[in-house]
Amino acid sequence: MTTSTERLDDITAPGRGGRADSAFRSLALVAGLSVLAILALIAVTTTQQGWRAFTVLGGRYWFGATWNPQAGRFGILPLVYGTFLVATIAVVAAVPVSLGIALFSTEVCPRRLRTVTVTVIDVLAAVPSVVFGLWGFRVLAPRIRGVYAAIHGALGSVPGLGRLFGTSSGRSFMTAGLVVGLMITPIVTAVTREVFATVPRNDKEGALALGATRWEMIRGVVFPHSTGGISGAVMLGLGRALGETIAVVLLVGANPRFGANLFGTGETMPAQIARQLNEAGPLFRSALVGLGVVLFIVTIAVNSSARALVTFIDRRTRGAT
Amino acid sequence: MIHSKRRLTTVAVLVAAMSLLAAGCGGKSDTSSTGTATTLTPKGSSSMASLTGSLTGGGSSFQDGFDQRAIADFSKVAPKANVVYQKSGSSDGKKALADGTVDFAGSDSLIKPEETLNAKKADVLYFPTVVAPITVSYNVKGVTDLRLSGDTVAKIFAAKITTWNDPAIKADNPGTTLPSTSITVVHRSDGSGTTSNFTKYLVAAAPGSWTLGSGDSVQWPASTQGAEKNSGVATVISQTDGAIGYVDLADAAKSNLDVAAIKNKAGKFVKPTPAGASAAAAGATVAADLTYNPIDASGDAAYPITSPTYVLVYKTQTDPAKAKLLKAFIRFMLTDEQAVAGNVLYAPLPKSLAAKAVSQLDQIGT
Amino acid sequence: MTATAAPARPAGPARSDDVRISTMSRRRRVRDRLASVLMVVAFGVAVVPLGFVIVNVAQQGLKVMSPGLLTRTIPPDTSSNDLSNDTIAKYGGTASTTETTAALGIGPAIVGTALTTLGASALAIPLGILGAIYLHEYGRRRRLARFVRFMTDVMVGVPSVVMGVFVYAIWVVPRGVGGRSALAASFALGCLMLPIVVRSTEEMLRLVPDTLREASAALGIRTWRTTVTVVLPAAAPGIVSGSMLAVARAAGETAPVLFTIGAAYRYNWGLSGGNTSLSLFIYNQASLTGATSLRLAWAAALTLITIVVVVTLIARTISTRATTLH
Repeated sequence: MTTSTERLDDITAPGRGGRADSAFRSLALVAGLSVLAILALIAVTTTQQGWRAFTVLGGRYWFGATWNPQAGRFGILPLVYGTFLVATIAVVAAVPVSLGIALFSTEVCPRRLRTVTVTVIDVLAAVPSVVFGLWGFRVLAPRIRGVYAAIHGALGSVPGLGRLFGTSSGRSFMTAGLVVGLMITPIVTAVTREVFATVPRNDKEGALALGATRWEMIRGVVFPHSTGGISGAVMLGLGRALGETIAVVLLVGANPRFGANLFGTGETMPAQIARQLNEAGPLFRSALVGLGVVLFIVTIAVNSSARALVTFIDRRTRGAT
Repeated sequence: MIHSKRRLTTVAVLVAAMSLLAAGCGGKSDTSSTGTATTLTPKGSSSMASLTGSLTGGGSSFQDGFDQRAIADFSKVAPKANVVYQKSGSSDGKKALADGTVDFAGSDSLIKPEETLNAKKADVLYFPTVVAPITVSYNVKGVTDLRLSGDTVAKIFAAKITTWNDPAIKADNPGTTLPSTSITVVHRSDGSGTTSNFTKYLVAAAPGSWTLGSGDSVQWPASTQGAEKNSGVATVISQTDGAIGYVDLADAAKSNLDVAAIKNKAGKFVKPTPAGASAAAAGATVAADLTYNPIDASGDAAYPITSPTYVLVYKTQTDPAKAKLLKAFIRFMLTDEQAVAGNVLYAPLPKSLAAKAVSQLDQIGT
Repeated sequence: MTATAAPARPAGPARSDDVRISTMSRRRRVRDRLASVLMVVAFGVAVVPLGFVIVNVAQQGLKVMSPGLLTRTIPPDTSSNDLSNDTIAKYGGTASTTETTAALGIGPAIVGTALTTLGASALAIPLGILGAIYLHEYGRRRRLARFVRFMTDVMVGVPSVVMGVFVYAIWVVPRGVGGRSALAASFALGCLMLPIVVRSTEEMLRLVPDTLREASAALGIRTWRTTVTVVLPAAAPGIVSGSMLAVARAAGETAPVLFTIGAAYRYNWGLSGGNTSLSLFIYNQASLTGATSLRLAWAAALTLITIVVVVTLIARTISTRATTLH
């Protein structure tokens, strides 16, 4: 691979091509750079628009514990809290399921069914967020209440733990988190599946030959080999979950607050932006665009570390083999 | 060979995709709506037929039902004019008027000192258009004729009462079996004139139990739930057993919600109806700027949570043609459309108030 | 391979791997079986809600679906459908002299979705393919290319709502209400599609064997001609499939459209002026009162899900075929 690349680089070295080639090359370069340009533009314009909130409100924006725009209170903490809570629920729900599906389709499932499972997960990935939102809002939320009530009945009186499982109207952190979890399952599954596919077949067959059951083989060979890749997948899923908007808007309950009750209502940053940006006055608008900046930075941080993790693990495993 | 084959598949797929898209937007030639039956033709003056131009309004979702009906009827007498009303909440309507993005604002609340429109307050006219009850709508299995006193309503919305079989609710409803379902309070998440008038009522009727103040939005207790616009609140109530919230009558009716009878100043439990709203408005004192307060009005038949709703416009208009259209549209709402208010579950203005509003139209000029 | 597939098999005819199972301790066997069951359960946990979503949407959508619905305009006010004279009387209103029903339609939303998706594709697909050509044909392992590649991956993860906020801030705010249009929405969706197209195209270019490029270069053909006449045609099915997946993703997105399109419910075939899309329409109708809004929402959801899933499946078929060819 490396040698052929070098050879090709020689051939395509600048100066060898004609005018058309260098023009094409520049065109392609500009296109490649457009990604950087757009990212930079996003950073600059959103920060510009959010600047008013950052400067006028200052610490009351970053560390304020009350978000009540009509009363002029723009503390983002309850929204940050809600965003991370919903995303955490989503990841906790999605990761075991995704691991299971990935193992199912790489290790257990008969070859013929493999394409079917992959297609089903692809369809899951294709269902638009707003359709999940509509379904969750109209079908799931009114029905899942009974489940919450049962859990509340069973655990509500347990000291400490009971506070997590309070009463519910159906729309809640939990409902939003579970639906977002369903939505990030395909991406987490896809990445873990790829990770599992890189486990050397020799190791797997060796374990089986030594008399390990399939589960022992998975625990002893597949998992240790994939921990890094799985962490990367989890981070990617987290990044997706943090930014999920429309389904959350319809399911979380529009009530910016702190609260341990997972079955209670709350609000997230993207949801608040979606709900209010169209109808906001100047300062409010600035505060909302500022939320976009926060979201942008947080997701970039999460995604870069996910990518870095995957690359790092890639290199390490490549070094090992 | 392989390449050409591949290219063929590509082309085939592209064609398939295009035809799919085409199928998606199929029959595009027919762009007009069909099947809408004609409603009664309003008897607008013949000069209205020549009106042209467009008007944009926005704000209160409380008056949306009436405004949409008025716009639909207006388009029949003034087919060349185009009026649009976008509900976005009273706070937003007032903001939009100040920003100049709308020609008229719908609002159920007056301009407050902290609002941007306040600077231009002297140049703003209030036109009351209709009155309507704010319902206390609920969804409790097996309960259809709930009666509530102002104090109980305040305690419920302050989350001081949390279950439906609370003694205070029982006391208002002797003989009714109430379940032990927990109460879900649903409120507006956007700035809203409905919230303003509802909380004003709570302040007036239950000062002891309601301590959260009044305004376009208040700091609701943590256990409550927000929803956008009157329609959003109505939808959440209809979806949630044990829910209660405040909604305009038209939206409550569209979701077929149960509405509570509220105890008025005279001690009578009154259902939210256009008639109850009329009774409340009839006794209210009208200020010089045509604002009035029908909340917690006296009178046996008065529904206590009755809300006024206004159209706000600038006295000084920049565009004469627009001013003419604006005046014609508001006049239409204050005259011909008063008769159809009941059709969309609003109550017409008291005659004297409507007349005052019509004469105030003369103050709009360029 | 037979060894991996065997344990799922219930007790059957004696085979060599059954010997292994029979000599195994009961605990290990139970654990192994349990693990397999849990994997199937995991699959079920994801598939059952998906099934519910699709069945619910199909059921509710088909109740209202008709060819006329797809072409008729969106009724401005459906309250007449929800407020029958009986209902009005029940709530103390005055019955109107004639009862009217508005004819339901979602045509403008379909047009809006088509327009914005096409607009976004026109912006993002050529740019994305060129960007991928830079990454794979010119940049390769150079530091700048590696950086661009990394940032593209990062951009894939930027939430769609941020794209909406971005276009709102840079395009809509300076222009006021008139800035909201299919064009603005296309920008937002294009930003969303671009990194997806770049990455999927680069993957496909990577699958094209270097021998092809070398052979072409040996004939004295310059890189740009090699790329256009040899590499791109070879990678075409994969590129088409990747782009279609990006299109499907864009067609289903709501958040970028929310602040940029203007939510005007009439036919608008132009890129300027207020428009709407299926996704936005569903979102707006979902929280409205009344049975009619809900019916419209389900119908639009069925239409949208059909478009998106069909495009996705076609894309998948192409890519499966493309990879089996390689």
